[in-house]
Amino acid sequence: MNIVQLLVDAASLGSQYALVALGIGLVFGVMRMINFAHGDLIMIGAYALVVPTAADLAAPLIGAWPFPLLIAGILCVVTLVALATERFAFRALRKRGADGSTLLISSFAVSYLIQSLVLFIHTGRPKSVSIFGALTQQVTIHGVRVGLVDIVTIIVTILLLLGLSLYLRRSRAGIEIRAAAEDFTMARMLGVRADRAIALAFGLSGILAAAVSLLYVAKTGVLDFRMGVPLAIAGFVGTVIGGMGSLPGAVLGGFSLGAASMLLQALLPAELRPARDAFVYGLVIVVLLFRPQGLFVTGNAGERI
Amino acid sequence: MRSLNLHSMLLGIAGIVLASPTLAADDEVLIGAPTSFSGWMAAFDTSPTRAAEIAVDDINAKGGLLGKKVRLVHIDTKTDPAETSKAAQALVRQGAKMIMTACDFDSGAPAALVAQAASVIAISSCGADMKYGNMTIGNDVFTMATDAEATGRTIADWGAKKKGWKTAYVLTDTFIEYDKSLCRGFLSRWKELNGDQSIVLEDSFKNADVSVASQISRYKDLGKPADAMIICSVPPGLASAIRQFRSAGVEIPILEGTGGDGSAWHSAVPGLSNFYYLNYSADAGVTEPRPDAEAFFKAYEKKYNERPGSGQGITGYSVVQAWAKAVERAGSFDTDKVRGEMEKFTDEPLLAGLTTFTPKLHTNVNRPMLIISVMDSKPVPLGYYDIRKGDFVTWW
Repeated sequence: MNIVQLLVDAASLGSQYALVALGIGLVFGVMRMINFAHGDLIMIGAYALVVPTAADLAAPLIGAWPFPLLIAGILCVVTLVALATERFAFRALRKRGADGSTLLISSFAVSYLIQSLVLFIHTGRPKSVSIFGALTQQVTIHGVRVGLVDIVTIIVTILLLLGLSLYLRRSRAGIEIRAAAEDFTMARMLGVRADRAIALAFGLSGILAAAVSLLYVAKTGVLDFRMGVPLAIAGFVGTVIGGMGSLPGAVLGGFSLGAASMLLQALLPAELRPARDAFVYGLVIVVLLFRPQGLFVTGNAGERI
Repeated sequence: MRSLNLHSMLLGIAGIVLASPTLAADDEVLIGAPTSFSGWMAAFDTSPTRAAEIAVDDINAKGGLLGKKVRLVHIDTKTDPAETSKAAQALVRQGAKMIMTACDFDSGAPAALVAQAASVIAISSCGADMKYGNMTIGNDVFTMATDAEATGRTIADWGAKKKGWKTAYVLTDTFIEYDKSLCRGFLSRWKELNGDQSIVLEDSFKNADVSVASQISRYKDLGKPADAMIICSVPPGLASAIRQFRSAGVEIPILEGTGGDGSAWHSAVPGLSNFYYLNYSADAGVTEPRPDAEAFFKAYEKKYNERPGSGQGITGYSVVQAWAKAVERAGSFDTDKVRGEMEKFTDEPLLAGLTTFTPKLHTNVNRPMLIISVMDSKPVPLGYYDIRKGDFVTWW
């Protein structure tokens, strides 16, 4: 077994989970709320690629547009849905001072609502669509196979993490988001339009979800109304083991979770492989016993994002 | 005391009023279909249930059954076990003489339990789990499906004998029981024909896995390609795995059971080739070799403006067909007599295929299945393959 190949394979799942965790980590940092519906935003982005119909055969809709328009189209759809969930499901609760667990329940409701709608429109039969055909190729470097889609996913994740961190630290809107995250009332008193700041954070999480939609479908070619749930769980667990409230922590946590899952898949004996997830989540518990604050939280952990 | 009597009287009246409009009239016989038209099971139950409606139309067009008109009452069970049980109870109360159950054991079992308790025949359309056929629930329960393990044995037999493939790589999706049984059957038949060493690698994945990169690497580490591989799975996991294996340059023939049917998932793998699966009949886009099955597809298209997307839909027709044949032969709707006739079926030529039941086995383990080859995204039927003959057969 080639060790480098093993690590590259591990990165193929790690990179997908890292990007999911970044979106969940962002909303958690801002609102102290686990947005379980984040996975369903990813699912909406994937389904927006095809014509909404109950027919088995999915004809591409946005998925047939030229490359730049396709990306812009999916980004728009998912961002709009993310903004709508904030406006109609979370804002009113937040204003009444609802705590994180109430918001979590609300996000479950949003999640089921989106799933039921997609189930109603598209039926429960999985659909498929092929986008970015060129990305399905693999390149071989010194005998190690690397999927182009995996390289692109890693690059996109790093770029989005850097861009988001810069935006939150340097731009006025970003600083307002961080201020609202730190102390909502105080931020308002100091003239921050806090509602807008929080909506902006949701919009950003929509962009992150849309990026996952595109990269996920490019990799697998499939759509399923339940596809968001395991992603949301992985992203959430990734944020926790990375260290809640740290964006790089969320990314590294998500990456570690995916990589650990793939390494176990590769290294466990055949009889134990079906129980892979039991080992993965057992490992998560061990990590949290020793590092309850998360693996990648450093000195300035007081800050929320 | 008086109020209690009044109470029960009112309840009784309410019961009669509620139940009477749907109770079977003297000149008709009811069939109940507690199946899902909503929720995720709808994708698997809708076409079998519609197919059953067509079977009922055909029977009534020929004058009915034992002088009675057949009426199919469908209740949408919404992919919910509690709804399924409730619907089956309502249908049994209305006097249904046969209950058609879901195309999946877990979804259909609540209805089968109700039917068994009421001594009503229950027949699943395409539920291929052995538990539908081996008296797990009871002797009134049948399935028109071909058992999953037998399906795996059939595709192995075909690959080894007709294609001459010697070595195989087996990849099991451990999420669904059907797929585990399918691969188990494949393994046992392949080893019988080609020897224990002929399985070069066994591996597993889960349907929702985003990446199968480590499975691909393990296969590539073998150093030389297997003659064929079987992926026991269903979409979406099946489509995603094939897309990734083909992308990694694994071009060997891929085999599959009935989980590969329908062309809806083919777009995940542009130019899908060298893919073989088997089914009860052709699915949309495939030419059906049997004239009676083709006539059914035409009738289906006429009534519902589309062909069934899945080749499994036809099993729903045979749920009604099998029961009606047994009723005619028994000359009675009596459950014991009808069951006795069904257990005498030996290669009974039904639309779902040649069907054999015995008092011990209420599912099919030796049925010829249609093998379909996909080249350049185009599915072509190769014929009905009979594991008992080791060859393609025609019986029509």
